[in-house]
Amino acid sequence: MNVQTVLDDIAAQAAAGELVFSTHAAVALRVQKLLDDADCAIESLGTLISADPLLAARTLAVANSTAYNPGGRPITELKAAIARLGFSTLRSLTASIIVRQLAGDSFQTEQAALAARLWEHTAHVAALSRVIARRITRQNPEAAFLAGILHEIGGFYLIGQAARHPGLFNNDLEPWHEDGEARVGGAILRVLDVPESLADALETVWTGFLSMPPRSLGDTVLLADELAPVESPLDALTGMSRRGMSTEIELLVDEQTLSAILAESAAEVASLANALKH
Amino acid sequence: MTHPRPPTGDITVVTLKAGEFHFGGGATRISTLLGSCVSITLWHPRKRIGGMCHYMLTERERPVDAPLDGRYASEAFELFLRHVEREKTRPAEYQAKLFGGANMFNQTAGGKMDVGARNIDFGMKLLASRHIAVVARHIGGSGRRKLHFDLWSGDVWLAFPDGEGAITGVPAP
Repeated sequence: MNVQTVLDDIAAQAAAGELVFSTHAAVALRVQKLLDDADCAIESLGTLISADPLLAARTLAVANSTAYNPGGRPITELKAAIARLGFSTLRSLTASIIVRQLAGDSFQTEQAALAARLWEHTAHVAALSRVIARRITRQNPEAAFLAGILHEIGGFYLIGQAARHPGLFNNDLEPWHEDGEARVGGAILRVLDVPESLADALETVWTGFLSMPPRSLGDTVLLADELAPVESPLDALTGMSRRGMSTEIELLVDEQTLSAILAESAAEVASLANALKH
Repeated sequence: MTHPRPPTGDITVVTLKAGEFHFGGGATRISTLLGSCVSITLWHPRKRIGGMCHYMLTERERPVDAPLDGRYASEAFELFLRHVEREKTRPAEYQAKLFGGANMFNQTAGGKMDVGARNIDFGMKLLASRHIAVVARHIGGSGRRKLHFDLWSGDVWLAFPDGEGAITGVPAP
């Protein structure tokens, strides 16, 4: 199998906008549209979100996570959850449904395991990005959260397309990390009409260098990606695995060290990563 | 793609191979590719000068009259100290960043043959001996690292271009 040809084909298909969305994602897309309306009422959002049990459950779980509920007051009603989270977080949650389902939902065990692992990685990166943005890079935490959720969008699409290319994951997928991920991911972001600033940040993640000290939105996600306790299963397939010695990353940021900031935020990150897994 | 931000005007790019050393200032970018070797960058935030070494081993018994050899950490550090003095600065005024020390051969981490870990440990001790603050470290792991160090800003740009199991690598772009 010529991996480069397959990846070209997958990128072309993504660029052509041939994305097939499940029922879950269809609701999520309608919620996204509603969020674009400045006069959007919480009531109509609540009604629409309740039409999809997955999105409804995730909205409640995230609203009740330590990250958004440090006081520990549980919420059981969707409207209250939406009010607590705000529209930008809700946009990230709908994106999380769309991203996850790009891998499809009726595939073989191998793909299912890959997608589950990739989602676990994504959830950690998104939660970590939010903390790193607030405490280290001084970026908008909600923008970082969304960027974290979207950073493996190409990977999920690749898994979804694997059924069309049996044996794809038995090959060395190095071309995926060379430029495949940026091409496929970029094409999907254009189809989904993602804002330019976010697309630029993700391009940094897919092709760029981590600046030390980290500053940009892209740096935020790159650093979260390297620090996430669960690594992307695609890294192992592309010869990028961290196997062997663990990587140590330490930065001094405003007199505090990265490890101290992460230790302080561990509960917040864990609660949010866990809520996203629901 | 994020490109390292150049200053106005042309940049001089100095590419370090293993054992080489460069110290300077202005619109200079020092680049290197690391495996189990370690690079230390030193930067003086007020004078905007600094340097980078790329050492392979910790130390040796240096023959009398032999010139300093940047392949050894102890001698690369001595090269740093000479430049620090020449610039009429003090070591503790510099900020250090430490990179590399990957385990390239998949030995058990911490094992006797773990050259990368020993290189890291030795570098940290050298810096501590002169009270130089380490502001960033990206060390260990099992892959190669591409590194750019911009002397005009002190910024370091880092990429993990290929990972575990990789044998060949290309110089930093």
